[in-house]
Amino acid sequence: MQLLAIETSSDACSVALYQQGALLVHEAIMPKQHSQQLLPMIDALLAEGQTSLTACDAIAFGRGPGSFTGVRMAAGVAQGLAFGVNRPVIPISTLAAIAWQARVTDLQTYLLATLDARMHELYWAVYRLAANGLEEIQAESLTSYQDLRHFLKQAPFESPVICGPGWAAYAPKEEVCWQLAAPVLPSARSIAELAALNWHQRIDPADALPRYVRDKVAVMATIK
Amino acid sequence: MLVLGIESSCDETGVALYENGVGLIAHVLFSQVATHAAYGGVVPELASRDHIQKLLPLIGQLLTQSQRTLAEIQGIAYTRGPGLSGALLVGAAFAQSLAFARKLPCVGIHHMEGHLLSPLLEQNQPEFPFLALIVSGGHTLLVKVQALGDYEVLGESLDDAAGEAFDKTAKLMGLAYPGGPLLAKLAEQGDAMRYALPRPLLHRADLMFSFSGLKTAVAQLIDKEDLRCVKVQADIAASFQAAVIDVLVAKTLKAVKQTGLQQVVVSGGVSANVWLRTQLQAGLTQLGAKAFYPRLEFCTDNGAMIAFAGCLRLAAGQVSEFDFSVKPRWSLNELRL
Ligand SMILES: Nc1ncnc2c1ncn2[C@@H]1O[C@H](COP(=O)(O)OP(=O)(O)OP(=O)(O)O)[C@@H](O)[C@H]1O
Repeated sequence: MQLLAIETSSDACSVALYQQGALLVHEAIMPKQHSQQLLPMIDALLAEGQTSLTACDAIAFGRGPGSFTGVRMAAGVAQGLAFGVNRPVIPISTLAAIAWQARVTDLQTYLLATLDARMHELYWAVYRLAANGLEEIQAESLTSYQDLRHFLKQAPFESPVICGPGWAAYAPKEEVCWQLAAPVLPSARSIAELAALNWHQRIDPADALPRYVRDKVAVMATIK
Repeated sequence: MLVLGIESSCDETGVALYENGVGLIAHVLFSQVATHAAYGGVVPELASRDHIQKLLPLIGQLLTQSQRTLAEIQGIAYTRGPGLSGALLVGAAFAQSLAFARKLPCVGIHHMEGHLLSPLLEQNQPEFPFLALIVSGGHTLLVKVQALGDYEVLGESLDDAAGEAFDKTAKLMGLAYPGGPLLAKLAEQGDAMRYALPRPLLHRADLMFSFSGLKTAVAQLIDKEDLRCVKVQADIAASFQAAVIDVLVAKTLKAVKQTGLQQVVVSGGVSANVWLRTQLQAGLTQLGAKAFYPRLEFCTDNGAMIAFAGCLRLAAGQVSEFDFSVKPRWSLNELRL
């Protein structure tokens, strides 16, 4: 199986090539440069892997949540590439990608993935390791830090490993009673690995859409 | 060469196929007007969200309708700017990626170049060089068109665009969104002489426009008059429309005299305006000049004009590889072939 993965939901831009279990990854932090660099990066990656797009069985992309523009770019590129070579797309959650990057071998450990959603809110979700990579314990949510803390107090599981940059953006410094993983950004590496494990989730390119989680983005005009 | 054109600069997703030597093969458009109506204006984030959902289904429709296949497409063109950055980026990312996947030449098109070349899609078409008046929701431009890619902006608006002035005035009058066409309809029954409104910059020697003051003048009028009276409404609409059109026509005629160009292309949403067309016709005839319009459905944003401009540029050997950055602000003066 050969997969190309794209991840542009943050200031990081990364692409990964999964070839029969082996991974090639190119990544860089490049705010506002994704649109210029992404296709050249893919071109270089395929060249390094001595392969071509047509040899890929599917295109995977980080479908959000994250920067609206970033996840839309990943979706647009995934759609264009996949439609162009008539291959399916595998959308992968950026929160799942973060949890996957912080995974621990203990199957009983819960992973809380967090991203800064700005406007005093976080995107977050809870996972646990499973056969197909991750099992979603708590669906992707958008709440304040306080509401997330409230959820954790009542949650039917022990204190999870907290990963991703969202938590640190809002948690007070003195908060020490949590296991924190390094606050890494989502990477195409984990998008590719999760996609390989979720091969059955491939869809038609036209259905390869972002998942924004924040859906209230405009206020209706008040009728005077 | 069969070229796929993609337009997503604002609130319309448009796709089309154009083949040189053959002409326009097919075009499909989805307008988001209903999405934005509840907000009283285009919400950029909602526009972007809609583009990414509609683009591929529309291309599917386009191919079915034209009985062509993806494999037959030989070039791709998309709107690179000006417009809403998030909206532009959807079309740009998709177009460049599709071109990358299929190893096709790809080119980013200036939206206004699309508009000003759009009359060339018709039977009755002008020849280079010509003058272009582009009047849309975002632009008011008088352009000297020497050849493909050789444009000189002679005049533009210092503030609101002509279409924007129509829409904002319509909103002041309580008309539904988007109000420009409704206001024009209302004006048909009105007396344009009833209210004396200013003709901004009419007597200035240059070809600049300004429409924001006119909107303020109408606001004052609305405060004084009883808008519940249909006659008053129609008269205000007609007086406003006459003021805008007077300036547009006068400056266009001035440009004809200054440049000596006898062909005038008129495009953009406001070029659908009937009063503009009649007044301009009368003025141009006196100067021995002639107006050229795209068909009505191509006056507003569409994919056909992008496919067409793209085909001309690709045929001339222009390509922009791999880079899908967009230009939300982009002057026509910067264009080259
Ligand atoms: N009959 C009419 N009279 C006056 N204005 C009109 C008429 N019909 C449409 N318009 C105006 O045309 C504009 C829409 O045109 P168009 O779609 O070309 O512009 P846009 O997409 O908003 O801007 P741009 O093309 O500059 O990005 C609106 O402002 C609308 O009110």
